[in-house]
Amino acid sequence: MSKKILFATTNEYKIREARAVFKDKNITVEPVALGLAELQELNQSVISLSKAKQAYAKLNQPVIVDDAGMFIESLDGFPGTLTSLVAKQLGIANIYKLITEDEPAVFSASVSYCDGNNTFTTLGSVHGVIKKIPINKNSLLSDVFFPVGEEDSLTMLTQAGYYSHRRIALEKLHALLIEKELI
Amino acid sequence: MKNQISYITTNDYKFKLAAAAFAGLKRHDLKLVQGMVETPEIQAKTVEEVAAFSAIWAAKQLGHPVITSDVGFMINCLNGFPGPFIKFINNWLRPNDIMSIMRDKQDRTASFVGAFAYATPKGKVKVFTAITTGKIIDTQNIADAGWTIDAVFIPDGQSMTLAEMNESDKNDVWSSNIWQEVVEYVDNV
Repeated sequence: MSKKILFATTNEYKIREARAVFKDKNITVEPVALGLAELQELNQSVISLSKAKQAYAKLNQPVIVDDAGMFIESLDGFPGTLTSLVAKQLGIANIYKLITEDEPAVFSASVSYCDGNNTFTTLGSVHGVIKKIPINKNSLLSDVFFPVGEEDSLTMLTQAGYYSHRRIALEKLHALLIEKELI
Repeated sequence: MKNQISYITTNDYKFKLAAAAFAGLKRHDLKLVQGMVETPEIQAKTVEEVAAFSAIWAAKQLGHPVITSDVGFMINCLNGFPGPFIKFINNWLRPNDIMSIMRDKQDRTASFVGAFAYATPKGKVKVFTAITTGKIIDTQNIADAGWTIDAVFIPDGQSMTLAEMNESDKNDVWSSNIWQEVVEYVDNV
């Protein structure tokens, strides 16, 4: 029997990544739109676990959530877990003013799973540099972040289905669920 | 228990200010107490949203009305950045980082925003805001000292940054009648 896991996202690339990771176990990954509260917190796993518990409380079905951020090493991890709001408010052009050319940074995703009985969280990280390339108002931080050894941005690599911080976390979760004989 | 309102704060001084205002409450059946529960603080663009979420959560936990407060800082030309994230930004960025971001900005207006949310266990919430307007300084080099934001903000009507002001001047800057507004509201709900 095929099992269904919901993924609290409406982003088609995230769904595609999760489907690719779980396809060998005949698991259907379906998107679900939930308004989940994100805590003001520096620990990514704490935010993601809290979202997974909230999502399960709403759905009563196995669910995956994710939380991603970019951590600039020379700024003690800024903007880190607050990346999405800071990027929107401050904007990439202003973030450029705080950093050097080819600034080292890490993109990390915490993925959490909750099925009522079990709650797990895994972390995936990609190291690279921020390049101060021209941007427009729709640019994302992942458009200007280039993983170590890559000529393409993280956005391009993700959309090509190559790899991403999130994909790494999803693969770890997949391995963990197999180890626990939950899938 | 039933006739309590909890002001959720671990800061005794803040509670004293609130309690002094609540002494003027006309409804003698209600009593303000200090609530020490830890409430979740969510990520949001405004402190109003953060305080409202915490207040509703705490009121549901405690089963009686609560008041929560949150403070943030909004730089107008940066869409309200850092907003509720002021405490993180104070740690992450130095005054000169703020100067770098603001270098080419004409609009240097900014404000401290204090949000006070009153919520009931049924999820009804009313938010009051106290706003202190001012400007971001325009200087070449600022020494790191204390809070980053205090070192770059001059309140309107003042000639010094918050970091340079003495305690009594700072108290003048913060003075507001926000608690009177809250008390008046509580008297009439």
